[in-house]
Formats: sequence, C-alpha cells, structure tokens
Amino acid sequence: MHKNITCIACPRGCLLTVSGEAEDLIISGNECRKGIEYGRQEILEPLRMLTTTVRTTHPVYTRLPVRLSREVPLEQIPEFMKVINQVCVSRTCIPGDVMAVNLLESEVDLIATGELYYEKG
Amino acid sequence: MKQEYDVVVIGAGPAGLAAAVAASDKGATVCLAEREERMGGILKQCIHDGFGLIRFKEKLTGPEYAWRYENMVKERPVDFLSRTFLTTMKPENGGFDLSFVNPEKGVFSVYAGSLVMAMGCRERTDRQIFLHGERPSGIFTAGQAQDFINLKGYMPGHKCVILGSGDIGLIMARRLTLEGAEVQGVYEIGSEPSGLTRNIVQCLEDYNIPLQLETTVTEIHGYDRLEGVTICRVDKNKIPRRETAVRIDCDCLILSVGLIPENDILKPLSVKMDPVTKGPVVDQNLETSFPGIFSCGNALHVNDLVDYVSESGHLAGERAALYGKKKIQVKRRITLNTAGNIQYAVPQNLTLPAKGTVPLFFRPLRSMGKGVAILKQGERIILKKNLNWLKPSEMNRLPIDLSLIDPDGMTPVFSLENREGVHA
Repeated sequence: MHKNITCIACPRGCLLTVSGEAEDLIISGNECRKGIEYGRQEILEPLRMLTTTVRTTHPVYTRLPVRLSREVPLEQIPEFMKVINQVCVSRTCIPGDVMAVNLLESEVDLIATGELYYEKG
Repeated sequence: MKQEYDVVVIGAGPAGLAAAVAASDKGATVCLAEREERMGGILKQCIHDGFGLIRFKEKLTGPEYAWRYENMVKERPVDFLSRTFLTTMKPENGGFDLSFVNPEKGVFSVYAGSLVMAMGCRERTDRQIFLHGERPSGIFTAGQAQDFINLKGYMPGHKCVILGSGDIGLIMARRLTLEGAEVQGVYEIGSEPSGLTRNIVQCLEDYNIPLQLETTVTEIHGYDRLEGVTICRVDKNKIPRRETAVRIDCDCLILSVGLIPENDILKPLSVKMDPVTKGPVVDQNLETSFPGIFSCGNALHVNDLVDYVSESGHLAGERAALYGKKKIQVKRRITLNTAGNIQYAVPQNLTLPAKGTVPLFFRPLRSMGKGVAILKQGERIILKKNLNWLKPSEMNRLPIDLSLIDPDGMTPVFSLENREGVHA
C-alpha cells in the first residue's frame, strides 16, 4: 500500500506518504511526531464527526441540527445518513438531548445541537 | 418616553452576544437589537463542528456555541429586540439617537450612550466578481445554500459546481454530497486554497471532490434554470485563458468568493474605514474614529474562528460600557504602522497612554515558512516572536503589552519578516 495524505495536526499541512501494511506502517514527509499519529489513524481507521439535520413537525423551524455522540469511521457516514434521515422530531428539545439511540446498533446516539420549542397542549 | 440605554448592541450574532454579556457585567444597561427572530447569527446554520476550541475548550457545533451565549444573555438584564432593524443613527448629547423599525412597534427611537456595531459580514455575490449575463435560478452564495439546506430543508440543486475555496464553500461541498447532490468540483482562481487545510481534507478529499486551482467560472448558461457553466484556467494575472474553456453541465452554482464586513450604517457618520479589512479603523478598545462607536467581530474584519469573534465582542462591550461611565483619559491616538509581509493588523490605532494586554490580530500577505513578528517603537523592540507556517487564510493573534509603548515616542511599527534568510 502507498498513499499520500495531508496532515491536519497543525496549520503547516505536511504532505505525508504512508506505505507498508497495517502493523508495519512507514510514514514519511512529516516534520513532527504529530504527523505519525495522525497518519497512522488516518490509514487504519479515519474517524469523523457527522453533523446533519433532521425533519421536525414544527410549523416554523422545519429542521433540527443534530450530531452523533462520538466520531465514527468515515466509510460508515453514508449509512448513518440513511438512518438519521428517517428521524422526525415532534417535541421540545435543547442541545445535548438524545433524539435517537443506538444507531446501526453501533452504540452511537443522535444528539440535538439546536433548541426546538413546542407550545404545550 | 424614549427608552434610554448605556449601551446598544447592533446584531445578536456571536460578536453582539458577547458584547451584550460583557457590557451588562460592567454594570451598563444594555439593549441588544437583532434583525432576525432568533439570536445566534450565522452560527444557527453552521451545523458542522469545530467551534469553541479556544473559548470553551470543547469542539462544539455552531448552534451549540450560539446556545451557550444566548443563555448567558438571557441570564442577564439585557433587553432583546428581535426582528428589529436599525435605520438611522444621529449623534445627540454625547450619545446617539437611534431609529429602529420592527413589526410590533413600527418605527421607534432609542437613545444610546454608546454603540457596539456587531453586524457581521456579507458574502460577495456573482455580480461583485463580474459574473454577468443571464440570471437563471440556481446561483447561490454558499451561506444562502447553507441556509436553504440546514434551516429550511430545501436542496439548492442536484448537480453542483462550487466557485471559490472559502471555508463555507468547502463545508457546503461536503454538506451537499451528504444530502445526495453531486458536487462536480471546486474551482479557485488563486494559486492557494482560501479555506483552512482541515476543511480541504475533511470536506473535499474525504468525498473525492476535485479542487482545481487557478481556474474560474467565466460564463453562465441557461435562462430560467442554470444549465451549465464555462470554466477557464487563468494566467498569472488571473486573466482567463480562452483556449482552456470547458463547459460543465450543472443546475447549481455555489459561490464562496469572499466576505465583506457590513458597515453601510456607519457611512453617514463618516467613520474612518480601513481599505484592506473593509471594516472601521479602531484602537485597542475597538473604538472607531467616531467617539462612542465600537466595532467587533466580522463587521470589524473577517475572522476565521468564532472564538476570536467572541473575544472582540467581549472587549468592545466592556469598553462601550466604560465609555458612558468615565471618560477614558485620551492623550494621543496614534497609528500602528505595518511593514513587511503583513496584509493587515487590527487594531490599526493605539490610544495612549494605556495599560494592560490586548490582542493584535493580523494576516500575512503571503504564505511564510519561518517568520518573525516584531513590534518596534523607533529602535526599541517591544515584542519579538518567531512564528512558523503562516498563511493568509489563517489569522494570527499576538498579545501586546500596551504599558511598554511610550505615549510620547515614535509611531510603533509591526512587521513580519523572514527568519534566517529562509524563503517563503
């Protein structure tokens, strides 16, 4: 395997070259140690936070912003989008509220990042 | 009777929220006026994360960051006027007569002892980058597209081209892809991307969206709906090379071609403006050339971190509250000159004598590997700091100790030079 990636551990943005196999990765192009850790994680399992919105039944605020409870593997993001797009909110919530649990049975929850207010009754 | 406040803050985005909190904490009576219904400004639609690493030591999304500040405002005796637009401001008895309009009260006036201008910035449009021709639907600024998707739940298009590599454009490239649109590419006229490297990696590379530098859109096709654009490579002088023209089919063009501080309301008062930042010229208290008018956040200069926006809002709010209470002893307002590889530095002026430490924000003109920032007064060095990997797209912050500046001395000069003969 041989791959070029840009390190984002600091603003410098070294162009890393990663070669070798899983247990025996060779990382070059890095100007500091941060590059090695970043390169390793990026090759073995790049993790990303997913933020998106879900539908609501609210008459004015028709979308609620949400995020996942933790970072997930980049390649799974499209699957997470599919299940999140099934969610529809119809209750008052504030940032931090859990809107759906255990998405894709991966113990990752869906967390509200915005506020939504429904009049009672 | 006309309502009177010590401080009136215009705009309830991150700068205005911080200003209202800080002014209230200094004991001022505060009114916070916002043209939209809710507080938070642009943060409401910035649903991605990465906000607040400096201010809260946490990685928050835009709405979460805004919510924290909104609560701080609500915990304090701040009068919040929503859906309220400032139409005119007139100097009166050392303060300002403000004329507002909103749906509840119609046109009404408020008296302000001092003012914090926190109007934020506007996006440059297709006309401002000389993209003329037909006006089909399907051409949006990145922030407009973000508003449609994230707040209203509408897709601006299905086959998109992004012009400009500003951060919002990069973030929208990812957002559109996640929502099922096809992003054909991001085209940037400059030789370097204008967004943060982090966004190039996580918004474009993650989703295999091509970024083409030294390329721009030269033609719009379509009459009712956008049908395509012509892209061209540009030469060194950014002049399109006709022989490289290629037509790309798309139904949506998203522009991320720069932000301009929003300061039209200051024009009638002849507030001195900085031609580079497009914001007012301020001193270390963020006071403009018009006494009692303070400026902060993206209205002052376009920031890349909201944490810095809050910091400047806090400073402006605090100083605006002091303005009404006690006269700051002004001895001399002098220019802080810049030299070397500096695009701009804020504050542009210093009011002396002064104590305390204030942040100096600056951007380099060109990328620089190893640089040294020097603040000098005559031959005396006030501050010297080595800085690495500077880029025009990433703003720098340096704290300066004002007590080290001699109020009767020469004009201080802030410069950024190459270190040890290393080339940029």
